[in-house]
Amino acid sequence: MTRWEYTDRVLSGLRRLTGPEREAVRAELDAHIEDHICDLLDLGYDEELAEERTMQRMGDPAEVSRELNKQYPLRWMLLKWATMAVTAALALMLLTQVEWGVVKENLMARFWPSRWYTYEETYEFLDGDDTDIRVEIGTTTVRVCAARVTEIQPGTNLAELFPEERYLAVVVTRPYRTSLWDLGWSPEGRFLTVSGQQDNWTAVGYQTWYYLLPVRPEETTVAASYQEHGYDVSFSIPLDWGALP
Amino acid sequence: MKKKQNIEHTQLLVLSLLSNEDMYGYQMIVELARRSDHTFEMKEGTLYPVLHGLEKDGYVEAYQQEAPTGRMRKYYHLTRKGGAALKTEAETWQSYSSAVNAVLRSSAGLTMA
Repeated sequence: MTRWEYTDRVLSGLRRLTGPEREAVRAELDAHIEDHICDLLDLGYDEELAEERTMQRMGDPAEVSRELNKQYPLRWMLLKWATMAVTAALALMLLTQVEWGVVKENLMARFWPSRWYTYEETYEFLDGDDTDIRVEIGTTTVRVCAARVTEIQPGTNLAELFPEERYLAVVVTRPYRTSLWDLGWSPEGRFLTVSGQQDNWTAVGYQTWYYLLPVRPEETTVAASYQEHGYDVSFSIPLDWGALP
Repeated sequence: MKKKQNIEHTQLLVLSLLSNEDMYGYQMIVELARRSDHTFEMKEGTLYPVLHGLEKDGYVEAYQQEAPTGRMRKYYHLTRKGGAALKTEAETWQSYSSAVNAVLRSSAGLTMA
């Protein structure tokens, strides 16, 4: 076995080490073998015999590999992977200017689904045709693209969120022919502030905003009035009770 | 002995070697063989799992340094935690070996040097 075969065999079993860690092990073993061979050459050994003797002294590469692996428990590998993933995510977010809020919303939706809704969940929940009501916010038009009524089913996230209610209006708004980036940042934060009714409204989403509002069967419209990016915004949206199953 | 050995004997020997100076792996092997009059001639590759374990536990820390030949070497340095462990384990070992010697001395037919 040559010195290169020896280090290759040790490294082949190191499955719990990251790439840089594996290369560090290779460099350390290479240096050790080199030192030992040089000492033997100084003693008058020829190169081939010096390498052979050194390999004998190094021991079984499989055993070295196995014992090295034990020093890198699985939890450390998982921790390293998690750290690398978070670092990569942070770098990606910085490069692409993705907002923290998006990550937070999706994590919240994953682990505390009773409080937050992802875009996909809400859109699937809507399952209806869009409306086309447009609301002026300064020079930008926001399109109210869906306003549907649904019955709150027991045991669902919505039932937890609105324990006293039976029906819910879901209103979806999206910017029209522009990006929400063009709106700038609202002093109150990213979500819309609904005057006087804030407790009743839940707004989630990013480029699309969602509102969940409890409604009574006799109500034919749902109205909103709020401040957005320094502008007064108000709209009234007809409710389509006929879409209820 | 009631007290459990926290570190292996090879680890204890390595910590002991590092108590005087920082060393790299091959240097430790040579020094260990010299100091033990070639009694401790371990399979050299198995030293590295021991070193990496000690590093993981915080008993030693490693750094790279260029040798006079231009080759980069990974040196190990005994940490404060490693020094404390060495002191404790050395005392335990002394106590253990004294107890074993005492038993051997009291055994019929054995003559201790």
